[in-house]
Amino acid sequence: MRLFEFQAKEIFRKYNIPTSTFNYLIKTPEEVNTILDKLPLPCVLKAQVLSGRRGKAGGIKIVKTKEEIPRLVEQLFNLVIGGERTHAILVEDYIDIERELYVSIAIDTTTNNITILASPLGGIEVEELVLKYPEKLFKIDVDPFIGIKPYQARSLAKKLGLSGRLINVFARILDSMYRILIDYDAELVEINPLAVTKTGELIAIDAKIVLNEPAKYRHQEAFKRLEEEQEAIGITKNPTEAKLKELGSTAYIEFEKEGIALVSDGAGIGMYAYDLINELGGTVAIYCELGLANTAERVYQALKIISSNQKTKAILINWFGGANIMDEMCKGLIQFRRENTNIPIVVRIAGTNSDKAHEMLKGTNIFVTEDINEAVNKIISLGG
Amino acid sequence: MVIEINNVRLDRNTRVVVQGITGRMGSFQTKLMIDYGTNVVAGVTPGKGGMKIHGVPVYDTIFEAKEEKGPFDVAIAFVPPGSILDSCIEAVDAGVKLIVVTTADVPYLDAIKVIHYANKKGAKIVGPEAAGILVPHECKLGVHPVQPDKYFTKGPVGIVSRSGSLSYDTSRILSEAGIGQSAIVCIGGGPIWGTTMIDVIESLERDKDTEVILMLGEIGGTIEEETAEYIKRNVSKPVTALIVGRYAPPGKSMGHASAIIMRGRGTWHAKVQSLRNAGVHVAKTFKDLLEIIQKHLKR
Repeated sequence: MRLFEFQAKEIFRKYNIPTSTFNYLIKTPEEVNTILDKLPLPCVLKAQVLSGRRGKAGGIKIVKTKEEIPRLVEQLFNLVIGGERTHAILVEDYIDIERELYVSIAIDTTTNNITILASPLGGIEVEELVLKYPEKLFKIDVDPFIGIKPYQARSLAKKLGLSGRLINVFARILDSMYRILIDYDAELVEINPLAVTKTGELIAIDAKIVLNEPAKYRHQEAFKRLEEEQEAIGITKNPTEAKLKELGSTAYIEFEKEGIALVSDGAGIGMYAYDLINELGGTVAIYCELGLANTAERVYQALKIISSNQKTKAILINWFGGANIMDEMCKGLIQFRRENTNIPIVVRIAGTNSDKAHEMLKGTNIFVTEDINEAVNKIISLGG
Repeated sequence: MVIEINNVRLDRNTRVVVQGITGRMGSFQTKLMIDYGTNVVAGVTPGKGGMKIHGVPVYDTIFEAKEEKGPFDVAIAFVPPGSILDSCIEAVDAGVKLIVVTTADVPYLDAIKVIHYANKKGAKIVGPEAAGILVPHECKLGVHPVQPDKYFTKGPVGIVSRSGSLSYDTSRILSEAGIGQSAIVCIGGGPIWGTTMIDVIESLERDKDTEVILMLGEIGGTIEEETAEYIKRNVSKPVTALIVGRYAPPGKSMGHASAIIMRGRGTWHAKVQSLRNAGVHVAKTFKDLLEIIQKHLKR
């Protein structure tokens, strides 16, 4: 789960990472009028979006006079960044920046480490700049059982060109970022830029935190609060997706056109079938993976949810059970079929106890095969 | 000679302990493993010591099991995500060198801790979220479907796969065409892997029964690209690959947390290009795959 800047900064402040002293979230264009008198000038208006590259897309405006605020607020609310409309605007006081650093702590899945990345070339061009000057990107691997060694943080501060008291200030910021990563089970905690101000302070100008979904179960309250905050500024969930996720579904994608709902029980065969349907000119409307340890009841509920989506014109069941037990899942399919006789269904079932499942389906009028190629051809011939 | 991973021989004599043996999944899979000929020596579930599951004695701790039954080669974990850190560290401390983690949705922080710990002590984690390892007619150290027992047959194709389901389907296609497999190793949905494709390919390259290596990959991440680099320099056996997700929309997860194209990275085309550069034959469909493998075997 990716957090908005205003959410990440709230966490930063809890961990004493310096941010701008003034901060206010505007949720509608009208709301700005209520705080016009309180705004410090100059100030900065920052579009709250989850997509990256906000700065380049014009999502940040510096305001010098009160008069220009309503127009700029209006402009920002109409902005679309990476397909995403501005959800809210964060107002902060303007900070005079001497130079910009980049620093992040992340779970690096390519090396299985917790990795610190830092560069003196922070700011909106950081990705391009560190590609051009790789020697300006510093990397430290952290042993997850030991944590950051403070001397590593101080050495890093030196490499970033910091001196005097800022060395220790930087080390404390890094320690806070690390604690956030651990305490919240984050995949990424990033500050870009971390500003060295004209007055010789370090301030987090932007803030990015990505929380690890699998760890949600041990941070239920935090996730719930953060999700509610996001809903309050218009992050909506696809209703079909939300219901399926509740049942334990591990993937859901809804496409523009109506057509086949592809219901798989494994990611590999799901993608294989998806490729094949596209290759043969069929149209997938819904891509869904049910996940592991499915019961008859969950399958029945999932199929009801999927079939009630207007885009579903036919259902392709694509199951090759290993851990999933096919005769158990098949019970749910048959119960669904009894109540929904109109919708075309093609079934590919193989794997654990699939011989029993095939036997169970014999009395029905459902087309059944073990072979995905055959199943895909059949569903396309039925108009999928 | 049979396949070895992390110097653990994988055959019908491999001594296996099942962690979480009394759960729904653990108990069901233990039965299938035993029926397939796997040497399941003991099971562990804290608080359930003294029970028997399908004739297998259950212990409260892995150390008690070891004291009574002797050391284990492989541990296979059917425990909830929140218990993986605990169960894997226990297995590593008890001297187990290969630990299969079938559990999905393990918090990333726990997954990297477990892998760090295992690596330091010379053990290897397969997974998390791995279907595990099957050596046809020798042992089942995972959740592979062996009932009905027709998908996997003994033969010359060594398979490494991210996905479990895709490896089952591919084995079925091969077996139907009369081509058996030396081992089917599913390393997990990622993006965190205790055992990489490179680790498995290294074993398959050394394994005398393997004549052709088959790599089943998918979009997202860069594990296929890294493996391609390794193959170019270190592998003499012919390698064939099938990469799924060719038509996947960018930015959307296709079921495995790692199967997602981000900022143009991890695309099907990038993977296929680097594999082809490494001399790997890339198939788009099962039909292609079968033809390529048949050609390799005739040579």
